[in-house]
Amino acid sequence: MNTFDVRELVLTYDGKAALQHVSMNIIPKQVTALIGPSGCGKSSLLRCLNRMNDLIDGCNVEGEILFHGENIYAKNYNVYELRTKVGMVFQKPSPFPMSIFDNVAYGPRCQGINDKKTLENIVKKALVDAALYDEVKERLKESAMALSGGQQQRLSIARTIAMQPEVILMDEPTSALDPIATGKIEELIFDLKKHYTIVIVTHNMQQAARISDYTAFFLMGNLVEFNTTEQIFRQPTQAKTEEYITGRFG
Amino acid sequence: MSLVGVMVLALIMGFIINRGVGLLTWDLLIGDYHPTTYNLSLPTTESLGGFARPNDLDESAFFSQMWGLGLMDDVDFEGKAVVRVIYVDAQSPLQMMRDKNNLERVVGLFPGLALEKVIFSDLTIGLSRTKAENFIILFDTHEGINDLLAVSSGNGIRGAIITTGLLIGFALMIALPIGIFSAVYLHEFAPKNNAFIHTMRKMIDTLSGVPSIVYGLMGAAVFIPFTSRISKAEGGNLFSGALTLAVMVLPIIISATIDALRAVPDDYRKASLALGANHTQTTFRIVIKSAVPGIMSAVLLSVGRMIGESAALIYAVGTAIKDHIILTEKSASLAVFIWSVMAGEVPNFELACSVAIIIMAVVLFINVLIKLVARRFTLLP
Amino acid sequence: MTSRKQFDQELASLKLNLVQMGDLVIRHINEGLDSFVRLDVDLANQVIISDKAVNEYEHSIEKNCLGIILREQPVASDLRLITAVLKMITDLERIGDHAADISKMALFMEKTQTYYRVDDIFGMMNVCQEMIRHALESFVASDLVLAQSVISADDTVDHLFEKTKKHVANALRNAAVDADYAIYLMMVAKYLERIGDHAVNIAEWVIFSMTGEHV
Repeated sequence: MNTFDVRELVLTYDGKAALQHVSMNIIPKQVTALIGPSGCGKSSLLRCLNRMNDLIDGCNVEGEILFHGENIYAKNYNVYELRTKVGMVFQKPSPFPMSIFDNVAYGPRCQGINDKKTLENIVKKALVDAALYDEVKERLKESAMALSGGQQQRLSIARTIAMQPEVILMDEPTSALDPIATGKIEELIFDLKKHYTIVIVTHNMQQAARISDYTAFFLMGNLVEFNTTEQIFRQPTQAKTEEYITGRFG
Repeated sequence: MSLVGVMVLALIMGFIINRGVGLLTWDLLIGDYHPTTYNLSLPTTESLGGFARPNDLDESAFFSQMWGLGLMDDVDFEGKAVVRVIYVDAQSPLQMMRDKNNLERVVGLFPGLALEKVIFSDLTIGLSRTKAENFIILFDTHEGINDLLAVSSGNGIRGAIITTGLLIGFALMIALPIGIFSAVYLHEFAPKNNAFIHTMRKMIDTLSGVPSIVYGLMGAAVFIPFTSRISKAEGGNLFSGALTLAVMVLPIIISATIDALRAVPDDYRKASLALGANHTQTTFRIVIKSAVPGIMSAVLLSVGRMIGESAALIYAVGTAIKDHIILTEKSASLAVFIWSVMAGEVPNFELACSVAIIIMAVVLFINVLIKLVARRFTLLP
Repeated sequence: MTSRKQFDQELASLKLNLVQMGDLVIRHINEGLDSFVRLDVDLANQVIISDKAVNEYEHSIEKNCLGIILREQPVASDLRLITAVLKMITDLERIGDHAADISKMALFMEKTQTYYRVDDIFGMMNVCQEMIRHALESFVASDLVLAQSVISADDTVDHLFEKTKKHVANALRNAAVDADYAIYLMMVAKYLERIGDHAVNIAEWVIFSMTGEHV
């Protein structure tokens, strides 16, 4: 069964359409990349998957997104619970102004987990899975603001997976990082793929080709083509897709 | 131009410090304002003699071995020469004197008192203009005392300090929670672009500019009757004063807190919500925590305004300088104290300057304190 | 509408170089056979030396391709194109070698001084040259049909080769031809047949670059 079924999704900001009748599926335990030029709607779609678009004034959604068969835009759907299952990593790391430990423990604490031993185990596992533990194990009580950009991003990932979500949404997670930090995150995604379904928005064509299993190409709010990454990058069926990925776009 | 301003400011402060520093003593801070006269007598004189001079007694003090008494020449707040009691041995018979107005009451002679007049048993009289050395000689050569008149120095500002502390404390206790929660509501939870909210914000900003004497009048008109109704206060009291101050600083706290909340990056809120936290958790665990330094500044601004507040309190509390502070009665705060000692027939300029120095020192201290606390809050949970 | 002018220019010059390399080997095939038929030793040596130029073409085009892969990170059709070019120059270079081999036969033939004309060999040469030309044309013009015609033309080459073999075998039985000459003749025919196969390879890579399928 698909993790997400997007059905005829129409998204408008103050009347202006950002997504037009988009329908697609997200396949479990795979990495799906959303690509397309600026303003094509890929980030908007990502934000729909965990209903972070609710926070934007004037945002209106029609159509359905089924998460395990249930429409997340139905009335009375528990959006907070949704977000514990569908986590998000942003382009800018933004660690909270707290210690590394408290950053990772924030999510579980909000859900009522306060037992010291439990929290310690959760934090350690999250940091290990985010490939950050070895670098910070001696200074968990120090401020997270002192970490480098790449470390902060891995901390954000640790923070997200401490909630043990099913899905991790990533909005251009490496755009602000140097090549080495980017490489580390990409390696991490290979590992994370085994346990989580990942949807990633990226501007970097080579990154999409490297790390994703499926790719969806968006243009002006429309889903132009969706296929395995290999197919998209070897032989796309749509001319517009070919134009975009070969950089022949004006 | 700003250099000229700084120089003028420095001149003014220098002038005040110059005039006031002379009176700055520990006694000033903990002493009563109103001098108390002690009219004492000594019924029996047993256990005289054999007292040893303590080692830590001041060198210029004179000691009576007979009575266990240390005296020193001193100057009072008005510059007059007095003979100050600086030591009374625990075993000295002077600890067991009687109040002549109430013979049941036992009053011991204590350090700090100035000797006005002592009538010894053979009717020899020692007066305040006698030097300490001679007084000691008189004590050493007499074994009985009929009458002893001593005066505690007045002009102490202990009462004013306590009053100020209580007023500020209660005012903050009222204004801080109301102010912070109002600011949080207005900024985090209220619907944006709402005309009502918008108008509220404008009104709050305007309130900051209202002259404080207007608050005083409001306090007199509203809070004095109010507190009279719910407690046994009659007229101005510390509660009405605290309420008036609270209303006065509320706009400052709300404005500064909203600014502090605004400065919290939106990314924090987004990250918190993306982790499944709800708005309340986000606000309290992250936003308010991050805004704490800004809120601390708000507190500082408020305290600064309240310490210097005189006009409002003159009306909302009253101007009586008290030594024993009772919450349901009027009392003078530090700033009102300054007004009071300058408003009488004989203005005590030096005393006023001393109190001014104290106010400035307190503000400086709070400034430093809050900066330290804010720094501690920003770096660690 | 293209926004990679630099890249497109590089691709255009790549195709040009490929065509030039093709023209060169076609000429060498001509001259090679010519030198064999007329026993022109000087021409033969010229062809053998000129093969160096073909090798240089291969190296420089290969270098360009690798440079493009490094700088432009081609995907989709661009990637298929570069891959196809890399494979095509190998086949062209082998064709060039075969043309030089034909010339070497002329050097061996110096001793015998006999001549026996077999028309089918010239037929083979013409077909092969046309195949090479069409293959490269179909690449430049993205003409799928033309590329496929090259593949089918190989049947003709094979057919002519069989005919040549029968012819020479007969001639040998009838002692109408000098034995050494006959052997060298067959080797020339074989080289031409191999050239045909290489031309087919080139056409297959052209089809790959257009469809992504390797037939």
